[in-house]
Amino acid sequence: MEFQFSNPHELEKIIKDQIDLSAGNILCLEGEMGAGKTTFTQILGGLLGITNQINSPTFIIHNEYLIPDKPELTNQRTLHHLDLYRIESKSELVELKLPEAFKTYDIVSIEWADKFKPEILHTIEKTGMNALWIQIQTVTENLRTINFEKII
Amino acid sequence: MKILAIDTSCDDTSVAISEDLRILANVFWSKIKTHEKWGGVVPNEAKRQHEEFLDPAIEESLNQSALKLEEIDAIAVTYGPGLAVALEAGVKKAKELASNYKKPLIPVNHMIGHIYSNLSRDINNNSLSGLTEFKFPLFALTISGGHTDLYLMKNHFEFEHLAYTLDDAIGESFDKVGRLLGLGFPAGAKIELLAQAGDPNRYAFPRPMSNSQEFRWSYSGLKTAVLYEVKKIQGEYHSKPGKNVYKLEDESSKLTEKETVDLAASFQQAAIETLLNKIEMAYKKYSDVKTIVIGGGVIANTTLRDQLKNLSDNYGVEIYYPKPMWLCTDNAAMIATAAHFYFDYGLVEKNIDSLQRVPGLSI
Repeated sequence: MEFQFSNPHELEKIIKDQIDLSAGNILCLEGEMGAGKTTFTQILGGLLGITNQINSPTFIIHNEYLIPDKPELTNQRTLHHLDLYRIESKSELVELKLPEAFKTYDIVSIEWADKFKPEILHTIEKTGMNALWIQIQTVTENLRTINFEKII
Repeated sequence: MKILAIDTSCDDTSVAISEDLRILANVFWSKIKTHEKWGGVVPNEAKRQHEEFLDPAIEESLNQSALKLEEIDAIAVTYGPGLAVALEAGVKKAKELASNYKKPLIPVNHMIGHIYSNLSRDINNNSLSGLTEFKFPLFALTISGGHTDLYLMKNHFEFEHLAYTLDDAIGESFDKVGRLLGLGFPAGAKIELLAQAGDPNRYAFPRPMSNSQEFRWSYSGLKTAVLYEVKKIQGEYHSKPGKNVYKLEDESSKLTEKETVDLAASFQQAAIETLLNKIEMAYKKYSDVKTIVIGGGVIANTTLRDQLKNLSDNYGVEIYYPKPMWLCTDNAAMIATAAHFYFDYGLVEKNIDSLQRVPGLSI
């Protein structure tokens, strides 16, 4: 499914319609520098009710934010914000200890997932979680397309 | 008081030993060093794990300071912010040392460590930043690959978060622009070197948030502006709906040397002015504050230092940052220095077993 957007507000509506955030989900983001991968995760965090500032995790590689869910949910859910931009090798990827680092009911956003597509797909398979491959493309400075492909 | 401090917040494994504010040892351990030490056999070679580097780094720091673990008075460790698995290794080792040797455990916020690096002293008790004590109120600025934050400190451990970035950190923008220019990682020093030969006014890059009265930085748009400029130069700036026309095979392929140095200079100037804009706002708003202390690797940039010094002189603000580079980038010495104050303020872990790493820790 492909959509176009030209501002964060339009992207927010698309994310809301396309992703079930009530259950665990792994969102693999592909798109070049400046495409809007971090913006995507910031909007995602907003939709999950996270009020902390969500920054680019390029340096820190893996960041976590607690999701303020309704009290009736017993498991504390976490938004995991990963960025593979600085990961150079498969052995470095192994060190991130995925998927043990997150629970099946967490929301996981992985920027630059395409750098290690086979490994990431294999990780997703192990979890059995819902997962989407999301491609964001720059059409012009102010126009992007976003494509959602269901992995599981 | 002798403190052994561990920092494994991200890439490096670092262990330091201090006596009061004097740094007796500050050791960095990497895969290469392990290689040397173990004669070519790297334990579990495939994994660059802090766990494997910690023991040799601790041993080395004790050797350098001619101390035994029994003589150490407290163990300090970075518990956040940082990469979860990396932090975990340091926290685990610190907990082990604290309980085995029955020492107090001091969990330190890595960013507070950067701020307190300004109080670290050399072996002869000389401050490595030139500052001997914090004169409150003061501004604390942390600028690195992962952070761009300005705090107002009214006392030890009394922080008011004045300004932060909405997206990328300033150091990250240097590294990503460096990649666009084909410079490799990390790129900060290389950009500065190229910029010296370039024209900072050739490309009109934005100074994001500079027209806003909000205390917020933004560096993502600046990075993207450089990307578009590079593509424009390379003649790939066409709008073709549905096609990823911005994808470059080799980002540096068609830039001339003159274009590269001018891009570096124009970007660097935009990045610095963007930073200084909010600092000047803070100087104007809090005119009673007469000191700014800076931590983090980006202060290595001498163009930034000079311009920040000029700005600060205009407002009568004294500027301090650690002079040695190893104390600006991630290190355990600053954790030991901060831990000294944590201990004085009673900020010691009460239940050693319960200490957990907090990757997203803020001040």
